[in-house]
Amino acid sequence: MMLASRLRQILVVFALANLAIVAHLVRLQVVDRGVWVAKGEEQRSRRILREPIRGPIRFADGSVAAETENRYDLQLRPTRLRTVWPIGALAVVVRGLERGEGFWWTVPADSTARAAAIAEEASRLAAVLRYVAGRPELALRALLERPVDAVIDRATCPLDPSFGDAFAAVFGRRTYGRLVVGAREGAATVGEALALERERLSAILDRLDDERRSFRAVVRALGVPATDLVERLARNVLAAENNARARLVREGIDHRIPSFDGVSRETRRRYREIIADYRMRERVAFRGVPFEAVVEVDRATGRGRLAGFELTRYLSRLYPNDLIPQLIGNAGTVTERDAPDPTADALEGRVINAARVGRLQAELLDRSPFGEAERTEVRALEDAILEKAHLADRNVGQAGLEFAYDRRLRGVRGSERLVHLPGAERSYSVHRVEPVDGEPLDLTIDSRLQRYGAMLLARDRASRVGDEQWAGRAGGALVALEPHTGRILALVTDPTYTRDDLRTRLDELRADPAQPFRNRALECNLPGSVFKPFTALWGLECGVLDPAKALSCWARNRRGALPRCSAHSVPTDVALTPALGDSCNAYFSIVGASAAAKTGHESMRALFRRFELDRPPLATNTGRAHCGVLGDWEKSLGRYVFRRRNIAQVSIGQGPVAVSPLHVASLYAIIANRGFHRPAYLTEASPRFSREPTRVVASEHVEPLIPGLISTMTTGTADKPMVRKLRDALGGAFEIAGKTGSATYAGRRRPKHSWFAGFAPVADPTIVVVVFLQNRGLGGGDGAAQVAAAFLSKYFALQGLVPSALVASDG
Amino acid sequence: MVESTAHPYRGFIVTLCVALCIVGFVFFLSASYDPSSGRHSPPASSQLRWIGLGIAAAIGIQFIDYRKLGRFAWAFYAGLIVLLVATALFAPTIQGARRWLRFGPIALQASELMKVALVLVLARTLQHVEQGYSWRGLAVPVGVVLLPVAFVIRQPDLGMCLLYTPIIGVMLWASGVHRRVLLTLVLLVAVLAPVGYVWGLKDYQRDRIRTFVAWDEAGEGKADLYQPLNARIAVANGGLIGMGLFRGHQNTGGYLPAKHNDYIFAIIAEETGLAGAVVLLGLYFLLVALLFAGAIEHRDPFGRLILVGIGGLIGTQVLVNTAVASGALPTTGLTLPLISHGGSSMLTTCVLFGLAINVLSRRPITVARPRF
Repeated sequence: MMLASRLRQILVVFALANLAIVAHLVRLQVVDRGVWVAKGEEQRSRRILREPIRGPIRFADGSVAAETENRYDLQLRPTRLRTVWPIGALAVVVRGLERGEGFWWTVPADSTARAAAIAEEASRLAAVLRYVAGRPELALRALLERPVDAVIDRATCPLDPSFGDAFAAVFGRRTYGRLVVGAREGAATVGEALALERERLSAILDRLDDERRSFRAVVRALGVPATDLVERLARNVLAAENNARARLVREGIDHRIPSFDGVSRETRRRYREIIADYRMRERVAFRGVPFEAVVEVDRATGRGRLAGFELTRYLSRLYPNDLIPQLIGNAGTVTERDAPDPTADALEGRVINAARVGRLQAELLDRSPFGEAERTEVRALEDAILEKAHLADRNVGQAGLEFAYDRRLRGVRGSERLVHLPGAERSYSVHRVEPVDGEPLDLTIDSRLQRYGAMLLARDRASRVGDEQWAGRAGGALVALEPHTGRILALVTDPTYTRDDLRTRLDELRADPAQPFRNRALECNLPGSVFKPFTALWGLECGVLDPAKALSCWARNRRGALPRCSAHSVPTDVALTPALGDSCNAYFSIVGASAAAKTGHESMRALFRRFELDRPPLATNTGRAHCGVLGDWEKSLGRYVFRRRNIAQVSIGQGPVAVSPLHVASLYAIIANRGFHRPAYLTEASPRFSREPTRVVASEHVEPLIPGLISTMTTGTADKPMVRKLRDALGGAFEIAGKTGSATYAGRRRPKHSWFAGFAPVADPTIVVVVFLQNRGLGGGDGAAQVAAAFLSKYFALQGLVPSALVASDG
Repeated sequence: MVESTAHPYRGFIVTLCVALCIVGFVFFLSASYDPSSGRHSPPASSQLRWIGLGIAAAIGIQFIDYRKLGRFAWAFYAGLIVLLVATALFAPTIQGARRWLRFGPIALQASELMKVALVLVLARTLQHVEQGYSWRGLAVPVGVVLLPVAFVIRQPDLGMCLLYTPIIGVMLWASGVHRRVLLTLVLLVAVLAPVGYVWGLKDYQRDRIRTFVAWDEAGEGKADLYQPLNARIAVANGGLIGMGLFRGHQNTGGYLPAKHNDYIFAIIAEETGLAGAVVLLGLYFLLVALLFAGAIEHRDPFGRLILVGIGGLIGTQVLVNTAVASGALPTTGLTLPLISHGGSSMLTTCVLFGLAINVLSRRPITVARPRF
């Protein structure tokens, strides 16, 4: 009775335990089933991201600045070849038997002869691969003649499973068992042990032959000699082997361990990780495979053949008209290398870094006279970058316009979830979201004018002979815009570079004293005499300047601390028009000093601000931390007492004033528009585009300047050969107005900058052009005006107003 | 005592065993099928071979009286201890464990056969137990179990250790040991368990347990949770009536390692659902109940204890295996009796049931009342 009761108790315990299991099953299969089934589906499915096509960037004339294209890479993965590709597998088997070793641990890692050993081993391996790829049937028959014991020994080596896998790939999974049985029954060779019947042997040979044909088709499509391909493959394999071994040695892991007995779990895990990591590096990649070759390769490797070949499609950003990389910027992949902190979460690190890199590169916007709206846009973009983790992909705008308009250009990524049901031949799409391609960005820049301007500046720089000290550091800029609209037609900086240069001679570019990465069109410099119209406008606004009234020029004589006049050799009386035409320093010094005496220098700063010429922070190369006019100069010096002398200097574009070529172009656009200010813009996507024109100065104050600016071109400082040629070509159809300038700084020790700013036609201006030649050593008329005239010739030739014969080739 | 005719439960037990073998073979075919190659891996013939060998062993054992077998119990036990020593010294390391001794093409797991030896030796030791078994007398059965446990834990094979320990508990309880004694032993095990956890287990075993106990979604990518996670997914896929034979996603997709042996219950649950899993658990419970019922009616204490030991062992093994295969316990290497693929396991289980049939076939009739 006692036994019965005790056994019943045990049965009750079993029953309760069984009920607990059943309860667990009910929870999994009924209550929480959805959760676990979803996990299973997620495990069986994979999410494919569908990249949108990044929007193109186009010049105004329709030519493309940046576009995105499909590109194809072909990769050869030896790891897959070894086990799946019968020819590759056969090569492993043959070589393994010849050397008594597998692919691994064949060359000493630390010896000085390592490189030579790798080369030697690579050539041997290549020879074996070539042999096998060329004559698989002979290799197979040779293998069948091998002693069965040797093959069994190799196949059981725990360190290198590739031999066993390869053997199985050639002969089938159960072959090793047959080998063992055959050996026990007294078979001497592999052929005897396997006792392959005729049909099976023939099937293996057919398969090898098929693989060989496919391999040759791939090689033919790629246009690479088969020997090269095999040797690259062999070299990569051996380099990876040796690097892996060196890594193991460095980490204190015995790379020759015969088995994993007594080896800690952590060490085993690390060992496998290192080997897997380096095996991934064995791959041979062919980048940018032409589409025709892709079709051929796909045909040859389809239906599971040549499994080691993998085609990958990706989107590549191309810049066919690489005219102004400093402005266009670039889009690319945010990589591990960009991550600021390797310990931070990788994705977050990349995103933060994208913002960081972008912010630095976007100095373009900060440096430019663009408004606060753009800067706000950039900051908002950076915030968006930080929020959106999906930035860690290809084609992220990283600099310049690519960065500034990244949101518009990038589009919206799509996705697709593919579920592979067991046994099914292909995966099924269960959730598909189509990508939305990026919008195009149309620039106002005309590539023909841009290219021509770049040619003119480069030619001018090349013409500087006998000036070795400064020629190497010289640069220039050319800005052209439509005054009515604010459209920037050309924004040229010189010297420049191309994206090919970045790949081929980056170090050389970095060391270049001319600093080609700078965008001189947006950098501030002393303006010299091109600033004088601003002084005139100031004087007219303050009521201290009467255009008809002549003032006394003191020529080259000293007049206290006021600057000398280089335009007049003897003291003379000049009115506004001849003062502008001859660029009289004395006249504008008097105007500035009078205006300051009447209204204080704050009125000058107010006008400067109204013209939007004060956009800090503006980088300069004048040696000053701040620029703009007056205010920052006072601030930076602290105890500086503003005096008449400094006002006089500013009035002629010297001293504490610095503006960029784009600033100067904006100033002359206001004059051309007879007092209306229309902000300059590069694209209609810019918020500046939608700003209404505003009157910043009365037209009656602008009109008196026009005759003076015309006289500069006809009889004044710009009356030089090229200008005359253009004037003759125009045949009096309309007039050109302009002003030359030469800026001296650093105590006249350096060659002066050469400036020209002008617009045409005077009656209804369609173009403002500003040319700046840094350290040119010539006056504005001899240097910058010549370049500007040539540029205007091109512009008018495109309009059909002057014969194209006047225009030099920009090739 | 005079031998009588066969016990009436014998037929039921044989029928159940054959049914389980057939079920096992069908699901082995499902679990071992590789859709990509169209073949079974391992091949179906290997399972049939071991079933055949097991049945032959079970039939063969019927020709020897279990009492005569009992006389060789200690020798059998000693021989297996020697094999365990040899395993510790000479067995190759396979998947991080040294459990199998190779004799030519045959790999033998001595710890599996030790289950038979333990049942026989414990039954022989405990058959003369009076109520209120002395502490001194306990030393022998406890020692009999601890000795193989010491070897098996070094292999390492935690699952087998978990199986050995309850055998002695069940058999002691059935033999009439005083409640206080058993309670003390249970307390002793409870006290020693943390010590064993710290000093007896290897790092990866402790990691596995810790990861399992602290299961959260973020940790589901860890290798230690891979098998339990996929087992749970497989079981959940089954729902109430299952996905159908050869149609389980986790099965045919190859997401579940060891699906044809340790995790075959997950495949059964996936393909036959809750209904199939509950029926299978019910069959095992019925089998254990029949063995216990046979023990109650049996008059020979040695035979009784053999039946109790086999019932306890099979019941415990089924519970641990199904708990592991449904993701309720961390991974251990235990098979599902008569269903999982595995030579030593199949052979041992068949031998155990052959022994049970042997005992039930030789029912002694006594004129005196039983002592308990």
